[in-house]
Amino acid sequence: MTDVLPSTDELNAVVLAVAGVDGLFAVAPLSAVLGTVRDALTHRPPAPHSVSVVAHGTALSVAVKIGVADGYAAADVCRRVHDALLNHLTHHVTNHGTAAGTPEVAEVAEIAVTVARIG
Amino acid sequence: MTEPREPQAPFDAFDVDTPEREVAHLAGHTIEQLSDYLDRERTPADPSIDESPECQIALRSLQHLRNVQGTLLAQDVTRERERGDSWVTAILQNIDLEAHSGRDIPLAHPSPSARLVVTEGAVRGILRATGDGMENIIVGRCRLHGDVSSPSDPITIRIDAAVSAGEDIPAKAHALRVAVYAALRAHTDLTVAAVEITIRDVYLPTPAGESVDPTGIEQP
Repeated sequence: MTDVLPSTDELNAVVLAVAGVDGLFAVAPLSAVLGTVRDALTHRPPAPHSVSVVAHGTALSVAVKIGVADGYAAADVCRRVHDALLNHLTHHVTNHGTAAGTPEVAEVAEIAVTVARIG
Repeated sequence: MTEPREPQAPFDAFDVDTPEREVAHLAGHTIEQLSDYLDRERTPADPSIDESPECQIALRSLQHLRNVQGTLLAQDVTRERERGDSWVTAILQNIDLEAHSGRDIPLAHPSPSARLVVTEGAVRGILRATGDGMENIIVGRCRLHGDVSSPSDPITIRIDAAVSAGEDIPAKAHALRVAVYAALRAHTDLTVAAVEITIRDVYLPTPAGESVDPTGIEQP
């Protein structure tokens, strides 16, 4: 099951690679809820400032809170973060889910992106 | 009809905050502590400040206010303090108040998996920064009135500001309004019915070299 969930390090890198993203913030209080589930699944301590990941039955949900750099339109950056995560997670679910033979994580249910600071 | 204000009543253009609420908004810090952090040039680094979006928004506004306030006459600020209704103090309180995340403002996306939002605090922060980026104007208060959770519902932006003496106030207000509209278009999907700008005060430029601590805290 551990291998089914994408690593937060991996997802952090995906988000930070999006042009206009200049920071990640703690996803509280959602992280408190998700962290419990994720910890049970991965036995890893939740990173305080990273993408939160959780599997709800067959569905994967992620949440991230970002800062947007000066000179970028926050709405566009936010959408690009969603698209980058969706693209990455779709590949992940296809490859790892099938390879692991685990039907538990079969789709991306929700990608929540919050812009917490602009500039 | 508005009741006439008593001469010594607090200037109600700006909201005030309680210390308890202030601490809650700023990840456990007060605006004075953030000011001290700026004094120390952010060293040693404090992750609880550096990793809080609310603190970052407040620090940016505080830094700008410090820069601008270097252009204020010391005696003018002293006079304001003596009146007990300093607009500078009110601005500081509003920086704190506006930095907290507030409501979620949704952003549209065709994907059914998307739940995209920008926080009200981030929007207030960028609107304040937009005004602060203009010469000879200081944003005092910035509010979003209306249901921001429904992008199609028209909302009203209300901004109170102070301008430097000698400025063409209508022109300055118009320029600020244009800049605010542009910022809202870039960063949100909000439907803006109006941007109401009220110039509440006029400040005097100071001779070069004089500066004032914007927190109003007496230094030893």
